[in-house]
Amino acid sequence: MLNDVKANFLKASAHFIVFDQDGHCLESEGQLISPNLLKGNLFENFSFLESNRELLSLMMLHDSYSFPCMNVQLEQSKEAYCDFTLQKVLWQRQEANLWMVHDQTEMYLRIMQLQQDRNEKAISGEFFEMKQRALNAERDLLKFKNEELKRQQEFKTQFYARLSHELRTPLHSISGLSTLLSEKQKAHQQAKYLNALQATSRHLLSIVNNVIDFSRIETGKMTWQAEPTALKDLIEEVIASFRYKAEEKRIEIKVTYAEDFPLTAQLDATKLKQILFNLIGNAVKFTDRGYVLLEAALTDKDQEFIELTVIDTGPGIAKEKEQDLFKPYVQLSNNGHVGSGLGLSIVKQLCDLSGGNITYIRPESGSGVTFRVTLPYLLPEKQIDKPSEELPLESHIQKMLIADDDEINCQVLVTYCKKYNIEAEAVSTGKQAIEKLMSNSYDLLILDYYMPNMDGLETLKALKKKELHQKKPVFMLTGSMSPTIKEEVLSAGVKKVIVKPIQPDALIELIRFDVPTDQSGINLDYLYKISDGNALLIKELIKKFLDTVPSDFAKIKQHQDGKDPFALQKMLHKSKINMKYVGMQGAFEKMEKLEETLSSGNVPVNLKLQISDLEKQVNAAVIKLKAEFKSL
Amino acid sequence: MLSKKVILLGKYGVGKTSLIRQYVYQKFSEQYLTTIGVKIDKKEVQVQEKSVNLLIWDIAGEDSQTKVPPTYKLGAHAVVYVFDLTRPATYESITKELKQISLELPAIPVWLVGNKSDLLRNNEIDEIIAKVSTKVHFTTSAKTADQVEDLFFKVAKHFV
Repeated sequence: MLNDVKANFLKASAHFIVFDQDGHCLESEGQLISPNLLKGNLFENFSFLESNRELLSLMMLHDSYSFPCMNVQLEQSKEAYCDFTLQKVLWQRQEANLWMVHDQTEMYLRIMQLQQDRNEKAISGEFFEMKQRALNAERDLLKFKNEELKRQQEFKTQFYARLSHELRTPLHSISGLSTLLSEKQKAHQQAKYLNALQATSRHLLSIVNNVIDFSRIETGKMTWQAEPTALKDLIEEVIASFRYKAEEKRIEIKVTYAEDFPLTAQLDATKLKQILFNLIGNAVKFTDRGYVLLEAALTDKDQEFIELTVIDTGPGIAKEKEQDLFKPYVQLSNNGHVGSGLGLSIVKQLCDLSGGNITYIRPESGSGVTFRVTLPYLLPEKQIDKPSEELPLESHIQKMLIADDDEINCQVLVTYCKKYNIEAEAVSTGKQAIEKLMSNSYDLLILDYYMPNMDGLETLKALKKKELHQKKPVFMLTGSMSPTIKEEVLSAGVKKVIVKPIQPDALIELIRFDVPTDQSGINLDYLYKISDGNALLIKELIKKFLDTVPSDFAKIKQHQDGKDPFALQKMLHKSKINMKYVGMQGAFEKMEKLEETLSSGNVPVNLKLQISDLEKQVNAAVIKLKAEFKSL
Repeated sequence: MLSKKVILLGKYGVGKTSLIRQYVYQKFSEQYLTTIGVKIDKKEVQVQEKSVNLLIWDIAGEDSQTKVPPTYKLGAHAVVYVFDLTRPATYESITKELKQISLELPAIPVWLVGNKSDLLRNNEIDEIIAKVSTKVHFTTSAKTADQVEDLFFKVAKHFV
């Protein structure tokens, strides 16, 4: 009886199927699987068996594999969880496959419920942990930021205290020296005070510049602008500016160049100067005995970088301060020398900006400081010819007008320009500048950005409106380094923005580099083209220009009062063709236009100005053509 | 017709069942229902005029591959290992898991899949992929079906 009970019990929850290698059912015992499904090919009817077809073909007699918890549909829409077993058996003395199916749905559904809870909890736990991690990271970041802010605040407080001291010291000196100068002094004494005054002013300016630069770097408004640079000249210039101080301290200042160090290169000259001024300035400041050496070389590997090493024999840097070397507001005060605390930080950021870097090399002996700067550079397409003393400034700048309400500044510039044979005139308002330009011709205009009633930009606009601009270069003076102002001014057609206070030397440099030296408008390509490269013909045409045009212009000038417009028209007509030969298209067109006006009997109000302008172009062309004539 | 057993492995809750449901039935549910044991689905894929019958085994996710009954993996022709892009716990020990699989199923191709891409921005996905020490073959979304078809087609194409 018990056997019957057992059989009935198993019948309800188990099924046994014997099938051959081709998937045909040989025998079946149980009620779990519908008899319809057992007809035909079992491999086609059951994905489980199809998946294991290869396995079955490899199984040996009595091999057995269990597949617990198989999720299947035994009857339509009835989902079940069964344990499967596959076994190789002997059936009627033949090898066959036995598939045992044991329905455990109830048990597995309970397990599933438990598993669902466990997984949900675990997933929630994971997200909770992630949230916790993120919160911790955020808390750590805030803590770090807070500490950093505190540190910066502390440094800033100290920095401002030191900065005000730094600013007050030279200001006191300036004030004292000015008082001394206002008193009656012997000439050599005055010169001494004046020198000291200049040095102190420069020092004060460098502190202010550092503070402004740093703020510009911090706000990301500074970019590295590579331009053709006379590299060796630049280095020599920087070194020269420290020579006096070095001599005064009785220390040597020297520079060595590697053989392959380029004369010229494309890099940002202004920023390179800043870097060198800071490094050499520090070296000179901190060194009381020995020397300061600048080694200029190219990097060993690929020579894509210039390598500038500044070495001094000063007291060196304390080990504990090395890690803070390039941090802002950090003072490396040694032997009572104090700076703004920004110099090295600015140098570091400028190097980073360029794509190069700066490294501090710890000295082997324990004293002295070595900084090595590497900066990317490109060789310029053309070598730069620095204007030499042989090319006098007056060849292209003879006369300039300065409009600035700061009379002292005007006076300084006018006096200085005289040294270079530049005739400079100064006015204090925009209105006066316009009046001057109505009756005079200038090669360069310098306008102050802030002037009462009519500022620099308004003046420039008015000049353009009245056609008095004369297409001459305009420099704008400003006390602000704001990039917005610079952009506004440059887009108005200003050639250069100069930040006050301008050093006279710097102005002369700007004139040299930023005012086109050739105002003649000559295009010799045209000459070569029309002569088909025939040197004799070119020489002949140049000779004709040199022989006739200056004398023509002497005659033209005789008629600049406009009393005889027809005589003037004839002269212009005769001379203008020479302009065409040498490619002075601008001058040719101007003469043609003037000729046209005169032919109708009209005399332009600014006739004198127009002729003076043309004469200047002709004079410049004569200089250039003489040189060309010699070279042919 | 070729019949190939493809097994989906990976930790619980990564979306293995949802990927298969999307691929075979074009259905998706936000509700999480845990899988126990194995469920087998079948889909025929046409590759270059040949039919491949993919027998896809959806294996319950476990903490570790060592807990998966070895018989489930017997005779597998390909493995798709799925992780959840939003849960680091599902990909942090991926190298170890894949190593275990390669020990049990040597020379069997394994596709590594990051699922639930719909929950993240592209840059976040890139960051996560960079963190995973092994090459991620697909970033899928069972919800939007993104890359799901591509994944299984690629698997089927491997057999042709």
